[in-house]
Amino acid sequence: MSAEYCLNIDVDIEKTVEGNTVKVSVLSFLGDVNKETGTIESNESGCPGCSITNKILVIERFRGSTVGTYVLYSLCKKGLGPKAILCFEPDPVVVAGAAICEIPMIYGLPMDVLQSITTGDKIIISMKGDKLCILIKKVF
Amino acid sequence: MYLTKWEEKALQGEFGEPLRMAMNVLVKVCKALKGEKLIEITHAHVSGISYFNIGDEGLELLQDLAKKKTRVLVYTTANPSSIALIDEFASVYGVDVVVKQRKIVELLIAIGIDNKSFTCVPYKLRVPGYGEHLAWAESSAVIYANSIAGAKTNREGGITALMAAIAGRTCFCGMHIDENRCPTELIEVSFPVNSIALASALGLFIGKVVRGIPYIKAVFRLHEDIRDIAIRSMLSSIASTSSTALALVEGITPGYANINLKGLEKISVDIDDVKDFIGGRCSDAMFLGCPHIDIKEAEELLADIVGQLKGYGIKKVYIAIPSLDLHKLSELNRVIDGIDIVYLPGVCPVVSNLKLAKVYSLSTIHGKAYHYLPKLAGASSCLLNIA
Repeated sequence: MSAEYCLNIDVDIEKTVEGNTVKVSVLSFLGDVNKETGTIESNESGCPGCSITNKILVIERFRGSTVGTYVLYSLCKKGLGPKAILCFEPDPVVVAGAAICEIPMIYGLPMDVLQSITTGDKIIISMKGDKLCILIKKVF
Repeated sequence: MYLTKWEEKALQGEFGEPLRMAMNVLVKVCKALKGEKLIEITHAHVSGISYFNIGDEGLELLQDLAKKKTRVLVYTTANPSSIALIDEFASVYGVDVVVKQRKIVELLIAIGIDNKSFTCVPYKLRVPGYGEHLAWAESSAVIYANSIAGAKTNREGGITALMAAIAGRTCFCGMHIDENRCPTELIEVSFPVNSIALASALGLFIGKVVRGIPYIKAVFRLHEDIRDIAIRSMLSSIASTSSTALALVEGITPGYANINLKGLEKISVDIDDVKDFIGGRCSDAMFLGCPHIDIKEAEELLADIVGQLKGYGIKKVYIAIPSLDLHKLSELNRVIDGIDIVYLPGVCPVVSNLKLAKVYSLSTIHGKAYHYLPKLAGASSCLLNIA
């Protein structure tokens, strides 16, 4: 089963991004993610024990400190960062971290689209003309 | 989003990797904030200097920036570092922490930050002009710049302020736009504000109730020596209990007389609203200088309150001061009427791990220290009404 959403979002990606998702309801890079392993430690995230490394990280809501920028940067430098971040509302702390990491951060996704994604789904993000398209493939 | 030709070139890397990276971060953050363009700044002030805050990850980023020969494009100052750099505490934290804290300071100086800064009162080094655009990341300095100097700055994050310093511009949004600087609530204070502690308590209360930009009507009945410290304490307290970047203070904020107050929601504050913030002594050590006070202010303040300090049984006073005053330190009294005075140049106890230093509690007169000491430094705090 798959669904594709093409949206008018003011975010550009340079190349198609493809990967498996890790979906969390709430996340702070400081405190909720192990800096040495890239593993989510917070129970409230809804995905404790999940590794964000090379995953498309789907976040419903951000929380936490401005130091999160540094943690995301450090994870990326160690090769433990996510492949891309998808979210509803952008958090400038995470936007700055993703920019320094040079990973795509896509925000402004409708909440129903975000909520339809679950951990383990396969996602392909690509530009089709001016539109950003997200193909979600459910893996059973 | 509109970019000038220079900004486009910088973003494409024509002026080198550090500028490309800074522009990339600024443009992406600005788009997220729905900004339409960037605005040139005259002064950036970066936060996130304490090793206890930014850790090895922050140090790593600064090392990478220095390796790329990054330089700031505009005058830039930095917040205080942790107390690990003070002799009295260095042995407590150990060589590893001290070396890393020193490295952070050295790296910032290497990329062009004023080596006399490391203070939360950058307006003491360079007073911002009315209407100037800044990119400051220290909430107490931001609210001072907007409210007292009439300059324009948002509450920047540590990283975005650093990127703004490198690119010489920031996002044109929020406080940079005149329409966003109008009051939303009228705060009428029914009692005279006659001490720094009371100004702090008032600020803490206002921060808790305000939803936007307060216009504050209050009578400040304070000795000239401590008036500015009290105003700074009130503003920094507001910025501690709220995300407010601007408070319009009657009689003080430039252009206050032309502000339209019609239709504003009124909030009356009486002494009962604020007295709960002020309590009894919780420690025989007192912390002064949050925000930093300079040596002249410290000496005047100590002369005013030494009797009250003795009355409360205070045995030691820590005073955080800007590091630009370093050369004057040797001339200062270290004991006044039996009370030990410890000056802390260029550092801040609030961003330090005080538990490790076996400082479990501090008395203070400043609302910001009172609010953040338990949250950030692991020490309990109390607000004494002694100045």
